[in-house]
Amino acid sequence: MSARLSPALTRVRALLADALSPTRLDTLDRLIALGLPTPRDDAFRYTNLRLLDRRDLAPAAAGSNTTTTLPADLPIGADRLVFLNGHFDVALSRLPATLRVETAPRTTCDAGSISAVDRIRLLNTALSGTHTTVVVPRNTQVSLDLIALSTVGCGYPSLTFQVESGAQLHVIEQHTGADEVESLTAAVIDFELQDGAIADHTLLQVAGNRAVVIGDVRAHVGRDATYRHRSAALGAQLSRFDVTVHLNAAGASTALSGLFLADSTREHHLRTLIHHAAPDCPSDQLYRGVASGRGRGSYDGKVIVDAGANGTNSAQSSKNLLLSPDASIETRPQLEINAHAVKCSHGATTGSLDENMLFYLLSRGLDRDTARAVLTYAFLGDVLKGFTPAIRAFVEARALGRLPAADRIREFVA
Amino acid sequence: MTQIQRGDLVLDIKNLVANVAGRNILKGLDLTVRAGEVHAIMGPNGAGKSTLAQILAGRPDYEIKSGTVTYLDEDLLALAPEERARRGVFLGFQYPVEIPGVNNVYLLKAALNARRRQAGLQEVDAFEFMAIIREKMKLMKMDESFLKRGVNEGFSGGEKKRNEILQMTVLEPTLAILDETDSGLDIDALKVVSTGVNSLRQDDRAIILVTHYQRLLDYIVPDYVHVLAGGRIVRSGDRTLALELEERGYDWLVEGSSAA
Repeated sequence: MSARLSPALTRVRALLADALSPTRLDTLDRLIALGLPTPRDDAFRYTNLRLLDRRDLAPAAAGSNTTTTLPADLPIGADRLVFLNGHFDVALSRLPATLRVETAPRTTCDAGSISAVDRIRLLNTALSGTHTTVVVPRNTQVSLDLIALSTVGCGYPSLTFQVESGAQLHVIEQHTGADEVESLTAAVIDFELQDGAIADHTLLQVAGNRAVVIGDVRAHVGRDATYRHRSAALGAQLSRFDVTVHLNAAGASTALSGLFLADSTREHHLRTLIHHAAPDCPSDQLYRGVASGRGRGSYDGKVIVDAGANGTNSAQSSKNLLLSPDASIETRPQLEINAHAVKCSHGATTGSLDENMLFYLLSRGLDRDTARAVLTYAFLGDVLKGFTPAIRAFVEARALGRLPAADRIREFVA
Repeated sequence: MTQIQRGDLVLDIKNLVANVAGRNILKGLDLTVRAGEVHAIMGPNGAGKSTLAQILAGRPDYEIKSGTVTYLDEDLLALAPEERARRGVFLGFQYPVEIPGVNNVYLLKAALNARRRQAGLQEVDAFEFMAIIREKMKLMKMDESFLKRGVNEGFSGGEKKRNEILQMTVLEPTLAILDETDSGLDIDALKVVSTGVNSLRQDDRAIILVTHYQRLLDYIVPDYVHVLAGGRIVRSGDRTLALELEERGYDWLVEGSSAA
């Protein structure tokens, strides 16, 4: 396959040729040779990154912004790890003493054969200044907010969470920024879960209206360890998240859930890959997408069950709602099963609001806008229930703001 | 809103012709219903009974070819379904739809307040509403768990019908149309549902019972019985007509209708 020349990559290379280290320049050249992923790459069949062509991809310099406060409306706990325009910001962060945090210069990308998603990783490696490793020591519990705040240009956060055996990490990742900033965030976040560890990862994408947010999340889950992931994509011009979970040892488990609301001309894309590499691992996926206006979205979810991964129990549900004739959502659940004795289910639907439900509400005196908003809100209910009460309130407030007749359906919100 | 008196005209249907998906279902139907009256509309399957009920509530799938429907001096057909509901038209559905995630109580409170706003009355707050609904739930023998559930979510057939009547008792409609409310009910549930309906028999209200069987009419005794066959009312009478239908079936009337 011939690579599509990316003008943005060529520009950033010319700009940074003298500033980047030889290894990073080499990484950038590898990416230029391969090109950014396009819809011709199967993993990106629903996501077109063409709008990056016109953008300036150069990373914001560390300290290029003097922001000293975080947006007041974020649901933030006591401890937090803040990336300001892609750079770990010590001043804005507040870290619990139990946590070990190491930052190191980014050197190489170790990927052997480069998949389409790996190319996002190459971009991050080439342009991210440092890599941060957060270690949650054995048998400790940590709750942490991970905030990616974009105030200028582009940020390339790069982070690994090592959760040692028996430890628990609750992390709330938030992508946020002002509406007028044409920012790009390409984040790479890895979770390494040792035996019996738990990582509970909430991902809130509430970036500004002109932002592009790309996230590559990979979790390696050890024996009897659990990776939980809940997401809400509400902001940005375009967002795309790849969530890859490797269930590497017996008893490892994962549960992914998420919702997106693609109103106006917004695009939200999700791709999940759950790799059952060991026996007796459960995995569950629950995704709900809504598109209105000329909004677009996709869910591309794959479950791979290796030979020998007997006792796999995997469920996958993707339901999508189109609120206007110009909105579109693609959904593609895929199963690749190489073992016997497995239980795998998947279901995917895309459709408009149920006319019988709508008529029932109208026949009780609700006006059309309210009835539609109530049904849309109810459609998201299964995913909303999974968030903690504080996060749920935050997501609901943001989600309701994107629905018509929001003020009138508040009385339906339990 | 002027007070409705017994005998006032509530519903006046004249020569109603309606199609569904290009097929002619109602073929010139006339019906007059006054305040204080209970009318039973009976007839064989496929006669157009449910079509009539749905048209009165405003379901969009029906095409009105000709005729008029007047409700309290207004052209009912010109009103959107929600406007009809707010003016006091209530349809008890034959197959109430399940709406997971939309709470029963919130829906009913919103419905009541939409109706009160239309009538120029003050909205009820959550506290007042809970008092109303608890009283009506007792009447309908529904337990507390109902308050937390989604609209008809996971309800049995009987529970769904009971929920329809509960809604009716809370909304206190001027014109209630109950579409096959008795179908799928065991005898105990039928008694409860009938108690609910009878509690609403008042001088300022009219009720239309659409039913296939006479059985319901043992519990809710109608003032008038009409036979709907072949898209029109082919016979009207009092309670004894229903008993006659039970004995003789519908064939003798249907044949008469096609000959007419």
